[in-house]
This record gives sequence, structure tokens and C-alpha cells, in this order.
Amino acid sequence: MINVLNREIPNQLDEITIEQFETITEINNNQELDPIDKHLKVFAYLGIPESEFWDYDVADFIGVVKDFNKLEQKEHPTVEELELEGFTYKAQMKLTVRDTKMIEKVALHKEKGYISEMLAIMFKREDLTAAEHYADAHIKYKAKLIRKLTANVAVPYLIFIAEKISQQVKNDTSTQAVE
Amino acid sequence: MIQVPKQWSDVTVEQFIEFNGIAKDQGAYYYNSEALSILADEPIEIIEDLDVDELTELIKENSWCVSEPSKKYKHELLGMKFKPFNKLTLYEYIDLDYYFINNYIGNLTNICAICYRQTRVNEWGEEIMEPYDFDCTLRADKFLDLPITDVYGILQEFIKYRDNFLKNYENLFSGELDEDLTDEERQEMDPEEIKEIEKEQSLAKWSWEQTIYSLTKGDITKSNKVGALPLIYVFNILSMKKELDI
Repeated sequence: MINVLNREIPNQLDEITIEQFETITEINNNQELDPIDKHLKVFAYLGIPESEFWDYDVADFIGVVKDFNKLEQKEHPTVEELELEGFTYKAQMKLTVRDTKMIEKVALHKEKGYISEMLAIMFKREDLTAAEHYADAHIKYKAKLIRKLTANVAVPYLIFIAEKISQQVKNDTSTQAVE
Repeated sequence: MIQVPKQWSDVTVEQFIEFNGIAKDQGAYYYNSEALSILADEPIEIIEDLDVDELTELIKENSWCVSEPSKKYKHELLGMKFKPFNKLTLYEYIDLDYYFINNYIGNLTNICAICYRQTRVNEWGEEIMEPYDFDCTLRADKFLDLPITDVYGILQEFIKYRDNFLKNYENLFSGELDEDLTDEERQEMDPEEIKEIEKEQSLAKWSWEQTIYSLTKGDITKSNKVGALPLIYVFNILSMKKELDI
């Protein structure tokens, strides 16, 4: 947490929720906003209205932004089991082709909320069939629950997915159109 | 154990058509898993259950499918013979042209059904080909199980022939059919201009029908006779008519 204008706002991965992380990422990816606007929007989202910065010194604002962006160097242990609304969901550092295809689809087509959906694909209930697990409504429901967890849960999985995808890009053997 | 073909000659025409139809905008994993399912002839569910590393490994091992199949083709297949393009009739060419313009891979078996023909020896001891009075779509399925390398080269050969043909008779072709005018384009043009473009588009749309109609002098009962004439002969006559303005 950092203190900004006498208010505590979360800035570490184990303090912000996945939902907050997704929204902050979305703001940061908005090409129409300049860096100052982006940070004003982020702070507003976390509870400090833009108007409170109007009389703020620019140099001080830059200092606040720097503090906000400073992530503590710490390990994020892999959480392999989640208890959500009475059900246990398990994940492994393992992806089937189907998982990867769905993750790819989410990454390609979903601008917001893709982190929670990626995790929803990886975390599975052992009592459900594959058809039930991969059902769109089930994934969306689970993603909604996962969004409330802290972002540090997502980190090891995001790193794992990124590694897998970069491996694919490196091999890049996807077949080209034969025209 | 998933068995993947080792080369294009192990892939059937049906597999190749399916392979070529895989959507290319759904991501690399989607593409690769579909490709593997088609080439290995395994249900997609089997491929989807693989570990993603296994898929990556299989795709790496089968990078041969990134290249095109050989551009050769067989001159005899299924007891039929390949009809040289310079011997095509008008109707054969019109149908081939249509299939090429409208997804030539998807229409590959229809193209084959036009190109490969039954033959017999006539009373003079000469080999003659069956006339084009059959429905090629009914014969198309015969080619599905053949190796793609038996027929793939036809495509390039026809494209080359078509380019050359269009060049030789360019004075008879009024150009490609343009897209319809947009509302914005219409607003910027005067009504006469719009009328002229629409007339050209209409002429281009009906160009083959118009050619036949003109050759039969409007007697559509003679269409099949004109359609069975050699393509080159028809176009030479059309060129002559145009040059002499008759």
C-alpha cells in the first residue's frame, strides 16, 4: 500500500485484486490517454478523484506515480488449489492443446478480463467433465469469482502461459496458406 | 500414437481441401491443432487432449506441410486421361474459369472432373475423349481419395494457361467485375457517370452469357452447340468479328 493524499491505495500484486489489475492494465493500454491521464484514471479508479490532483505539484505527482509503480521484489508462490463458493478448483503448470486454444482465443479477442478467464481455463473442478469445464457459461462464472482474488495468484500462471506462447512463436511452424 | 503423413504424397485431395480451408485468423494453436487433426486423420478431441508441448513437437516434426505440394500432375488417373487445356471447349473453359475464380482449392475435385476424361478409340483408330455433357459435380467425389500430388499441378498449369489466354484475347475482355458503388462514391459522381458504370458492371456480370447469346444470334437453342466448340476457335471468330466489325 502507498499513501496518497492521506489515503491508502493498493499497489502491490498481493494487494490488488485481479479485477483491479485487469482494469489498470486496460487503462494503461489505452492509446488515447497520455501518461499523466493514465495515472490520473488509475488513481481515480482506486479511489482518489482526479479533481484532488488539480492543485498538486507536477513534481510531487511524478513522485507519487514512481512510488505507485514500484513493485516489491518478492516471490509469488504458485497457488495450485482454490476454494471458491464451496468448490475446489485445481490447476497444474500444464496446458492441453484445448486449454491453449481457449487461452489464445481469449487473448486474441478479449480486451478486458482476459487474465481471470485464462485462470478460469486453467483451474478445473475434478468432479466436472471436460464438456462442463469448458462450457462458456462455466468459464465466465468462474472468471467472475477469480476476479476477486489477489493478482499475485495470477502471476506464476501468466509467466507460464507467456513462456509457452513464446516457445510457439520461436518455433513458428504454423502452416501458411498454400495459394 | 498419432501418425502424421511424412510428405504431401501421403495426403489425399480431400484432406488437402480441408487443410486449406482452416481459418487463419483464429490463432496459431487453433490452426496447428486443426491441421494436425486433418493430416493425421484423428478427431480434433484427440488432438485437443494432447499436452501443448506434444503438439509443438509434432508440428515441428511436420514442417514439410509449410511448403506447397509438388506442381506436377498425372496425365492418367482413374482410367481417365487429362484433357490438354489447348483442346478445351468453350463450356469447359467457362466452368473451369468459374471454379478457379471461386475458390480453386475448394473446387479442386470439380476442376479434376472437367480435366480428366474417359476416352475410347473410334472407328478410325483414333482416341477420342468423351464430350462434356455430364455434371462434373457428380463425378467430383471420385478424386477425393487420390494423393494431392496427383492433381495439384493442374492448378498452376491452368492459371498459366488462363493468363496467357486472357493476354492473347485481351481486346475481347472488358476487365474484371468491379465492386458495386458505395453511397459515398455515388454522391461524388453525376448521374450519367453512375449509369455508365452500372451498365459496364452489368455487361461484365453477364459477359459469358452475352458472348453465347451473340454467337447464337439470340437463338438459345443453339447454345450447347456453341458451348461444345473449341475455345480457341470461338475466340478467333470473336476476334475476327471485332476486327472486321461484323
